[in-house]
Amino acid sequence: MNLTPSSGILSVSGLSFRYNGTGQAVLRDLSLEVPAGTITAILGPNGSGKTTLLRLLLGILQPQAGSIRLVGRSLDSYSPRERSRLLGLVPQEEHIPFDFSALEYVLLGRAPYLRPLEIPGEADRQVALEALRAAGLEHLQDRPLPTLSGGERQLVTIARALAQQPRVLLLDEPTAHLDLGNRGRVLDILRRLAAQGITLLLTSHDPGLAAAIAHQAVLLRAGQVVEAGPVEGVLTAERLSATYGVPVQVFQVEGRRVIITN
Amino acid sequence: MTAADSSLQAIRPPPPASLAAGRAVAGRRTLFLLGLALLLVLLLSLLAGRYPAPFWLSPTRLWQDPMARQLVLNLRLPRVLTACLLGMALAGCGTVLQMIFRNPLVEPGFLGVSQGAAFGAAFSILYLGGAPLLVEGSATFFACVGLALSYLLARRARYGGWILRLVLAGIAVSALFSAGVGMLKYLADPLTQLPGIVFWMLGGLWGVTWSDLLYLLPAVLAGLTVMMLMRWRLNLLSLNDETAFSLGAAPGRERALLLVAAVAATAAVVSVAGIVGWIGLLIPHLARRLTGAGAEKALPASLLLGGLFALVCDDLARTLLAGEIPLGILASLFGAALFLVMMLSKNIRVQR
Amino acid sequence: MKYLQLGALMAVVLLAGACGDTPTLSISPPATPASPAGGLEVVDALGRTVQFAMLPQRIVVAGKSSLTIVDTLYLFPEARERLVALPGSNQPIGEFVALLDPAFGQKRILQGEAGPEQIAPLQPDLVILRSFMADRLGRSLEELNIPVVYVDLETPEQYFRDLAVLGRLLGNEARAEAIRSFYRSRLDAVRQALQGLEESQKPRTLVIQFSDQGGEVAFQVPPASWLQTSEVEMAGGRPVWKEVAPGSGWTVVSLEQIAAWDPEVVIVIAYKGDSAAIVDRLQADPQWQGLKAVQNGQIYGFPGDILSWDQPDPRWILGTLWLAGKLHPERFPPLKVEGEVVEFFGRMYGLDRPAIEAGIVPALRGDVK
Repeated sequence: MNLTPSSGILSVSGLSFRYNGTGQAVLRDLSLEVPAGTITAILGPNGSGKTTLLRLLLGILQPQAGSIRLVGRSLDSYSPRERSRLLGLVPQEEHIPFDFSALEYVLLGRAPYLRPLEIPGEADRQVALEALRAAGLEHLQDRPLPTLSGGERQLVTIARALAQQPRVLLLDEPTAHLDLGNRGRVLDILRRLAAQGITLLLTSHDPGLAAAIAHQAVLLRAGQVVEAGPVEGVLTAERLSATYGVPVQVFQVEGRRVIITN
Repeated sequence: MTAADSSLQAIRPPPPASLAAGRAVAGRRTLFLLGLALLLVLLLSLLAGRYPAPFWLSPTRLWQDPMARQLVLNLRLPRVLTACLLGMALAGCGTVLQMIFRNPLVEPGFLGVSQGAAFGAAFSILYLGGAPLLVEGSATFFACVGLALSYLLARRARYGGWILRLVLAGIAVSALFSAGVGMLKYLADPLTQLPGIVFWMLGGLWGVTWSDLLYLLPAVLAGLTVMMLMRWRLNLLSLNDETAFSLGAAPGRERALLLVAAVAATAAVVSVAGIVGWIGLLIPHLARRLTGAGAEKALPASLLLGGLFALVCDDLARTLLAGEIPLGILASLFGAALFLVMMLSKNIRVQR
Repeated sequence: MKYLQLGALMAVVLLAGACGDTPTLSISPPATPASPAGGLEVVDALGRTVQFAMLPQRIVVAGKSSLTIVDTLYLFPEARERLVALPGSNQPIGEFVALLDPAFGQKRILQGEAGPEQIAPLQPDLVILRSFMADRLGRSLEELNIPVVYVDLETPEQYFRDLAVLGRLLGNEARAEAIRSFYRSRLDAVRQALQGLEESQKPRTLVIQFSDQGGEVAFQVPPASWLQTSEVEMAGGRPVWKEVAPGSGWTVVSLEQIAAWDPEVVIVIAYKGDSAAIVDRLQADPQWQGLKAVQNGQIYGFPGDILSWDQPDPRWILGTLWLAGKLHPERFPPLKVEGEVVEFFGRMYGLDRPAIEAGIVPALRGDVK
């Protein structure tokens, strides 16, 4: 690793995890440093433990061994409210059967700042509107969620996480179901957020995504880190082939890294 | 303040608050009007009945006739208040169930809650002595069991999507408890301690007195208060577990608290009034149409609408004919009819 | 003290005399003296003590299964003036009471399942209900400060107890005592005739109600706690359905179950129509001909006049006497219309011979003609 330990906003050391009952270790002795203000992509084939890692970083799962530190403190030491003011989650799919408007949904992101029985006030509404604006969706604030397109819904979910005013955002497969146009819009927004100083940690099964926006990449295979570091060093043909188990070729086109398989 | 925070507090002037605030005001106004309507109907209901002649008791008669006064104060007033609380509890429980289970087709009568409560009440009257608090406690216990069974069965079932599985499991558990009540009534009740099957299965508020109301007040008020206090939180709890967790909630515990509150309120009214269906299903939908899906408005609207609906149904039940019509019959008649109308009219969308 | 009691007795007698026709007064004093203030206190079937400042003058009978209350009330002549309203019924009780009370047409008939709001305008100072109506109707009436007295009238013991209560309420306890001794003497006669009867000598008896409402034919047995079961036992029979009759009302049984019981005697009750005609039908039915009782001709229709004699109605004594004669003809004489029936309606209801022959005899049905 190129950075000194414990200097990242999120640092993981020796993380091991297995689900109760399956017996098989999903993550083995995993260590990771995430510098502040960067975009880190966690890549690997399906079942390599990407989503589990995200859940552990969120704190909803407890590891059997190892530690996770967020802004210098152990993750466990945060109260749920403190943690949720720092750490936000954009899940892969959010399914809501009721017609919340986009604004009502984004308002839910203000929960960490409200007392247990408090209802969002005007100030919270402003923050939510700002978050919608940052995601480019201000004009959709009153539209019911089910009427939004796939891309808009993903952006609205990002806006909801932004309303938490977090310093770190965890994103699970942020562009998995999106068409090319929406993918581009989401990537733009992610870049902007990183430029504003928010640390992004995203999982993807698509190395092309990492090539497009990530600063750091982490390759996972069978719960272990194959390689981690700046994108240039990690996204090489031989590393990717080793991780995914298929021949991979990497080209440079107009300064952009392009990754293709046969 | 980090760079992230300052970026989110825009440098340009904030947009006019009127849009967001305007909607908030509209919602508040709806609630206010609903509350007013409820109060009005409550007062008018005191004058409806069959004394001294069918339908209307004139206020002047109230002045002159001591029997009329006694009737209104000792019989109509507690009954009318109980009907209102019944509607509120059922509608509130329906809203909570629909949001927590993310299923617009559930209500206390579909998930074994009402039937479990009826079974618990009947069981306690027959075998545990029948003291009112014990009856309520037993009803609450079995109502929770009914809900838990429906949920666990739905988790394990392998047929269809989540919404379908939950409804099917709920129907099965409800039927089990209904059959239980039937068996208790027909096989185990030689001394006629239990009210009739018609009362349990179709509900009725005849014979409600002040003491009945006072016994169910604590559970119902506590349940309604918890639901109202957590009304915004309910939105949060309708999200995925992970998302809710990421927002700082403890989804399991908070949902359990809300569910117990809702079920306790429902069980208390069922033990006094039998099973009244359709209110818990229809009213939350109606409320959401009026105020939007956000529970911070939809829940209070549900409560007010539910109270109104139950009140009107009960007024008709005791005034229309010489004999009492079971409340559930009228609630089903109007409730199911309205629900059909709503299902078929996709065009009605209220501007929020 | 003795003079006070005597004075109270005279007050009661005077009150009774002033209020109604001359009842058949016996000389025995009332069981409990009225309270010195001239007021009245009774303990009803539910053990409640109800107090009255004066004798109730406007009595309303309400609730389910109230037929027996009305008929029992009319055993007392005072009932004519005091009874103000009664519920409608699916049995022709009106027909009977009209015989007893020319002013019956002016009584108010309560519609449907009358609630407190229908009863209150009648300004009753007493409402009489069967005890199981307590939760459903009684409590609400009590909330309106309308005095409620509950009666059971289901077993003979309850009958005598409730008769005494009604006697007090109507101010004619002597009449209650007279009625009681009438019933007692007949029950004693049955008991004496059946003395020494072994269990094996008691025939296995089945009592079923036949109904064909809406085209559905159904045979139903009464619960073990009901009067029909007691009647069979008093008449020296063994009720076969006693262990299996669950619940609190008539329970449908299949022919298969009846065949499994294969009783020695079958008694058929029909509230609508003539039970004797039903018996003829069943005897002609090939499925029923397999039953021992039908083969031996031991299937009978429960008799009745305007009202059937099986139910908790003062007529139950006639039903019991008839049953004893049927089950044990060698020990007890069969019921004769001329004898018992005429005497019953004469002494209990004050009907004279012509009235009985005009109103009761033509209506006789079942196995008694």
